[in-house]
Amino acid sequence: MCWNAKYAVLIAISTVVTYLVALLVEKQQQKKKAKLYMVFGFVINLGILFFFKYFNFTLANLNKILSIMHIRSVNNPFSLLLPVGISFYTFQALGYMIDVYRGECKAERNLLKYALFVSFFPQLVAGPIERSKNLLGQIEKSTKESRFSLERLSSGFAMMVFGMFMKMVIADRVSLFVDRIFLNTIFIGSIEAIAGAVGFAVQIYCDFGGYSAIAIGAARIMGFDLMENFNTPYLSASIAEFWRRWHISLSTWFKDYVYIPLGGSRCSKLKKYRNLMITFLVSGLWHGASWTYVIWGAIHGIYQVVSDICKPLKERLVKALKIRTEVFSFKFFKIATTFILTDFAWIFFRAGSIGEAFGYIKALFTRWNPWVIFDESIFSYGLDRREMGILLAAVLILIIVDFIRNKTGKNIGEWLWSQNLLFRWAIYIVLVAAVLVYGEYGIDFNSAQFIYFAF
Amino acid sequence: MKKKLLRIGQALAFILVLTIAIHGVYNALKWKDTSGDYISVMEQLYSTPKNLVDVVFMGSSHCYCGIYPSVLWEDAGIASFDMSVSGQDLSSTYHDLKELLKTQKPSVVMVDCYGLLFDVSEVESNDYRNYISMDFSLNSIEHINSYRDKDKIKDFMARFPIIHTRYKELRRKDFESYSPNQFGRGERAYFVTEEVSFDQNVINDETVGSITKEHEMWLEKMKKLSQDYGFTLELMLIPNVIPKDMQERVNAFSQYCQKNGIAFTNYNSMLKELGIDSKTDFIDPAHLNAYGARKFTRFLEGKLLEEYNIEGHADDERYYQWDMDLQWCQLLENQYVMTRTNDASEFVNAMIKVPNQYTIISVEIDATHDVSYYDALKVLGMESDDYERGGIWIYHDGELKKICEKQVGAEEYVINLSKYDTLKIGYYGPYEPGNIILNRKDCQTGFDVSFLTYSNLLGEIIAHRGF
Repeated sequence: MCWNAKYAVLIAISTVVTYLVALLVEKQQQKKKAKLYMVFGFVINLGILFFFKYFNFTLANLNKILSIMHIRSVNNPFSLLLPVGISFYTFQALGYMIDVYRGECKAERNLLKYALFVSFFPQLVAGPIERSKNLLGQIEKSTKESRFSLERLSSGFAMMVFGMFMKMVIADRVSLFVDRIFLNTIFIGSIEAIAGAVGFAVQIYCDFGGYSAIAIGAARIMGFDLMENFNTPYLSASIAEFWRRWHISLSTWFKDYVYIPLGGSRCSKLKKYRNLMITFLVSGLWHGASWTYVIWGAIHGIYQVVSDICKPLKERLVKALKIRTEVFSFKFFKIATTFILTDFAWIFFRAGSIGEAFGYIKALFTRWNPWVIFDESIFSYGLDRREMGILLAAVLILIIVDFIRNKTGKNIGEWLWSQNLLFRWAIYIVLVAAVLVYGEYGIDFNSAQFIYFAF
Repeated sequence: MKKKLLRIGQALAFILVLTIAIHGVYNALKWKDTSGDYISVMEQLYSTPKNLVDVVFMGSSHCYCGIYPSVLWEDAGIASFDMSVSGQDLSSTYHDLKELLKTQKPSVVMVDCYGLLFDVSEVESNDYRNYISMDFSLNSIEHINSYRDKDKIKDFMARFPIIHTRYKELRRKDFESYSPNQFGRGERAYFVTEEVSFDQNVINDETVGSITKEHEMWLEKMKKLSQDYGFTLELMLIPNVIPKDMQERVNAFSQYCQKNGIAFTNYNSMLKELGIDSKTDFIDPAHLNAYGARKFTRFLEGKLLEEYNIEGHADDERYYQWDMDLQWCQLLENQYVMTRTNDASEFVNAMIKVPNQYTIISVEIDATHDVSYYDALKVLGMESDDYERGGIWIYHDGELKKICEKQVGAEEYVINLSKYDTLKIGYYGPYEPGNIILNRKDCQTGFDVSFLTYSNLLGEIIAHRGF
């Protein structure tokens, strides 16, 4: 992943190509010709994405195959760096093109407005991947009056500060622990492995959720409502629900532009499972050019398929055992199970290689060592007692905020705006102070970049 | 319109409250010289009322170890100030002086030229001491902008990126200002002695080295400052052992200053005249100790009185900080003895010289058979029969008062030494824990006679000994 002004050319190409293709598609009466334009748009955009993101990966795999066949490997003529945000703006532009093709939105005539839609800075580098119907419409209708209000300023500010809290106080702090655990995969026992996996689940949520909150808050202050990207995902009671709450802009993108065009669920069971697996494999690959991401996607696909197959059995079991499904314990069980399953999959997402992931899983199940909690050697993984205490307190705040969100349906910004002024101010001040004091930043700290910047 | 104004007012009020809150957080976290016992020359400067300082000494540790404003005050009532910070580089000297000149009008500024002899500070904490202890102002911005590592400038400006991790080490002194920062005049008193050796060949070396354009520019800027603000600028080399290459540079500066009408004195070549003894007057090769500093300061005192006719302010109430500074220096000297001696009489003799203090004296021994400590204690006014009965006394303001007899179940005595320090005295048996408790901490030494001295000036225990 890299910042380089030269890479602005790529976003310019993507913008101009999709802008023109959309105009041509809209004008074109013949479906066949319109399709040709669409293919052209796809080839250019996906071509750029493939070249910068997947060329090295493809070549490395090709060379592996060649070496098995004892054929000389192919040298990589390029020294490629992944341009920041490329997966996000490419998908956003492609989504717009498809929407125009489907007649779900009109082609934008004003290139500047369209360019603003593709490159809208708060969400440019890591989403949310906006839909033309939502953001482009707002750009169209935007007026001075609609842009600014105290409510927007206040709730946007709260979201930004809470996003920073999630990123700087929680994600960057827990990353010190998680990185140390994953660096020592060969030495760790079950407890460290569990703690590392749970830590990474927290890290990736706070890292990406934090970025999304900052982006949404910044856009809100400027008068734009971006789509929600996270809705308390770890309070999901099933994997399917998890995907309705996690990285919502991407999962709905895949649902609308991959899963449904493949046939969705309105087909035979076998085809539905095929569609699910394809969607999740592509989603895994979208996250990165590595087999670990593909396996991560595959695991989620398998979860969904198995869950669907086992659904009647589950229902019969519940009935036979007279399990009460409306009580807290049952909901808690489902939430906990879903968390364990998603967390297990995160191991592949975080591991540097498939081998490392399996080594980690082996440690998880074979080296039961509860004493590390009591002899406090767990505190030797980058976070001492005090830092762990700060982390746990911050996570507790996050859990409270997530519960409020779950109960009221309001995000932190909206919820705080509905509270009394003094309370609101006190929370703002505490959050700002917490970020300033307990945030991981500054001299001698190499702030972890947002994980999703790399995708 | 009314609603709009109300909302603007609300937003402004929020910004104000937020700023106050962040300022409170900043005050606790801000850079403090934790390896220098929280002493900050900048805070000392900021707490000094306007237009009191007559003489300023600038420089690095050589300056605050080598020149004692308390000596000038005690002898001649001269109000001087050591504007000195460890590793003070040229830019810091210039900007620190500018900061001082905002509130003070000194007639003489003496600058130790050690800053001209080193190119880059190798101690990271010295950069913090020099660059982020100044209050935020245009001068501090210019100062930070001159910092050599351009990548760090924005962190220095914002300060929080550097200081925020101090939450791990916060203690009482971070929330309450450490008293010497209110009255200290910049010096630090060290009583350690190390014999050092000066190479006469180096001292007498007349080889003239080279100085850079930056050095020349700095000298010219300092000269202009002296003209603009109307003070006399003197450069000097405070006695310290330097290698040959530095001596050559000193010669070059000396030559440049001579040509350009800037006074420059190399005190390394005047050790005999100063009365400095290399066996007894140094902490280490680079720094004078308290004994050497007194000699050197007294020499400068003569020069100031003779050449500049600096007036004394001994009886002027506005200069109370110099009085307190003198008390502090006396305290440090006596504390040095109290914490090291193995002789109770020597301890008591030093203790009674410490102004503004409470000392708790506990006689645990069966004193009817052992009078060995009575000679030490009778200096305080203790009666021999009282001594023989044993018990616990308090010594304060030159008066000794018995507060607890050596009887189990004797009435407990509680004294609030300060806002946060409470002392509880009782008797639970000879050598028993709990007889003297300070802030829940047991102060039983297990010795026959013990002393606990609390200084009101510093707000802390300065000696806790048993004999």
